[in-house]
Amino acid sequence: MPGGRCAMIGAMSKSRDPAGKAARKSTRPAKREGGEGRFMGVRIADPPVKPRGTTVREIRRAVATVMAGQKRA
Amino acid sequence: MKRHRLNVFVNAPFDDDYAPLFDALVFTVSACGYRARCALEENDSGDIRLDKLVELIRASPRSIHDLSRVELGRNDLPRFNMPFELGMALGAKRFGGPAHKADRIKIMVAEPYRLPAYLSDLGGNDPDAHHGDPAALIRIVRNFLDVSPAGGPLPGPGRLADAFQSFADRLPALAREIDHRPEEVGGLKNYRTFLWCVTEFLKRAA
Repeated sequence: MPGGRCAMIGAMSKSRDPAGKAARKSTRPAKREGGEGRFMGVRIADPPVKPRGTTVREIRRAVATVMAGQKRA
Repeated sequence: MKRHRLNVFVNAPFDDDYAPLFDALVFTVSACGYRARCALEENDSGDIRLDKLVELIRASPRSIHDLSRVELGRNDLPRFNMPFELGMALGAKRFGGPAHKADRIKIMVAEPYRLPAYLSDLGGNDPDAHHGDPAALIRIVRNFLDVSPAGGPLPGPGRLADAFQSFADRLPALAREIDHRPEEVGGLKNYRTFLWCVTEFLKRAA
């Protein structure tokens, strides 16, 4: 029975996941806010506490600006 | 506070003279892929409380203790906080049960061969001396951590020292970008913000 087994598995998957959730999950990009980064091959861990007096987003923007050699007006 | 394999408890002086060393310490821990945990993360005023310290030590499989402040302070009194916290970490390792048996502890001093004169109970331990030099401290911390959390190699001490200098040079501009004065962002000034500046810099530095 060429192809019979594959066809059977496909049919079973469809019946167990009629809304196709698994397929949608696998194509959705992981939600990250720039938390992934490496220095010389070492993965840099985010600090366990939030910054004070500013936000993580502001710091990320500031670091990007400074490292690009730009200056804010 | 949950125990985490990346946590490194940092026990060091919180005074202005120590600021460049403290910044280098936090930078190196972060650059090696670990998380610096410090009493300052809860209260930037340096108001250290025993419960907070217990939690930090409990949560950290590694700790770094700098006993370089052995002289009398401005009030002619010695400061016992660092040796006290080292004692807590040693106590946790000895009496804290299986979870703490493998805790790793690094002791640093400013000058070599002086520890037995003021803490002879630690005879046999071989603390590393940084001579007040951030580059030497970076080497000590890097060698103590040994490998990245993933088991990979760490950048060399010279490369880490160069990166720290590059970060220190940019920190004033970074502070201005987040609407702070340059002197307002530092490990001992605004620890949480400083820590994020370090980690975000590292992610873009390589």
